[in-house]
Amino acid sequence: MGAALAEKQIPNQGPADEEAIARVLAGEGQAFEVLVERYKPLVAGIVAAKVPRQEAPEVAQEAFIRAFESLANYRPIKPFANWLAAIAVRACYDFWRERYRNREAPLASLSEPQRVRLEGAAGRGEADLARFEAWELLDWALGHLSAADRLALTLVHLEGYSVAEAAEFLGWSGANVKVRTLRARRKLRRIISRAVPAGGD
Amino acid sequence: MKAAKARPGFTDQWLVEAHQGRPELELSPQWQRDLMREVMRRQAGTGFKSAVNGYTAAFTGLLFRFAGAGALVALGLLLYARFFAPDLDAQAAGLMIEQPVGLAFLENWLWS
Repeated sequence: MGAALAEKQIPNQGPADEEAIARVLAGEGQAFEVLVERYKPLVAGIVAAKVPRQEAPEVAQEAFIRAFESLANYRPIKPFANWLAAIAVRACYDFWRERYRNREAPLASLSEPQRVRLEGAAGRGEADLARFEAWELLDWALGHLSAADRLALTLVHLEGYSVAEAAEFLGWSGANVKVRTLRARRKLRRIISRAVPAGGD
Repeated sequence: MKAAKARPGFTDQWLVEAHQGRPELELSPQWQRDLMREVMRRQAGTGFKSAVNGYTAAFTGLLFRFAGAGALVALGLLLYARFFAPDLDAQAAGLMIEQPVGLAFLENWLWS
C-alpha cells in the first residue's frame, strides 16, 4: 500500500507512533491526540474523496474513534498509517451502506436544487452539464452504483490502488474487488454516456 | 478544479482528474477538540465495566447458541426420569410435569 499512501504526505514529527500507542494503551488517552494530529491529513484525504463533503468530518471522526477503540489490536508488522487508512476506508464503506439502506439520496455532495438541475441536464448534452464541476458530475454518476461497487471503483480505478491493496483495505478477496471494479467501471461508463450522448470514448 | 466542459470526452483520464478535482477537506481545531472529548469520554467508559459487559455479552451469546440443544437435552432427561428412572427420580419428574410451581417450595426439594 506504500506508493499511494506515501503521496498523502504523512507528517512525521513528535514521538514515534509506537510510543504514542503504548501511552494510549497504558491509559493515557490524551496521547491519542499525537496520532490524530499526525494522521489527520491522511484520514481527511481518504474520507473527502469518498463521502459527501458535509458528512466527511463526521466520518473522519468515526474512523479515529474506531482506531482508538481497536488500538489494542494493532500489530506493528505494518505501518500505522496503513492500518488507519484501512479503518478510514471501511468507515466510508459503512457510511454508504447505511446511506443506501436508509434509502436516502446517495448524491448528498450536491444540494437538492443542484441535483434536480443535474438530473435535468443529463441527457441534454455537454452544454448543459458544463455548468457543473467535473467532480459533481462524477459524484452524480457514482450515486447510481452500489456501496461496494462505488468503493471498489473509487479505490482501484480513480485512486490507483492495486487490486491487492484495495482488497486489504476493504477486507475482501482480490477476485471480489476485481469483479466489482470491472462491473462498476462498465456501469459508470454507461451512466455517463447515457447522460452525455455526445461524449464517451 | 476542471469544469465538465473542459474535456472533449468523458474518458478514464477525465474520471481520474474529476476525482482529483474534489475540494480538499480541512478538519478544524474544533473538530479535533470534539474528537478528543469523545475519545476521553469513551476511555472513561472502558476498564472493569467494559470487561464485565464483555463477559456478559460472551455468556449471553453462548447461552443463545446452545439454547436449542440444551432444551432438547433437558426434555430428554425429563422423559427418561419420568418413564424409566426408578422411584424418587420418577416422582420428582412427575412433580415437575404435573405441578411445576410446586417445585419452588423448599420442602419438596428436602423430601425428594
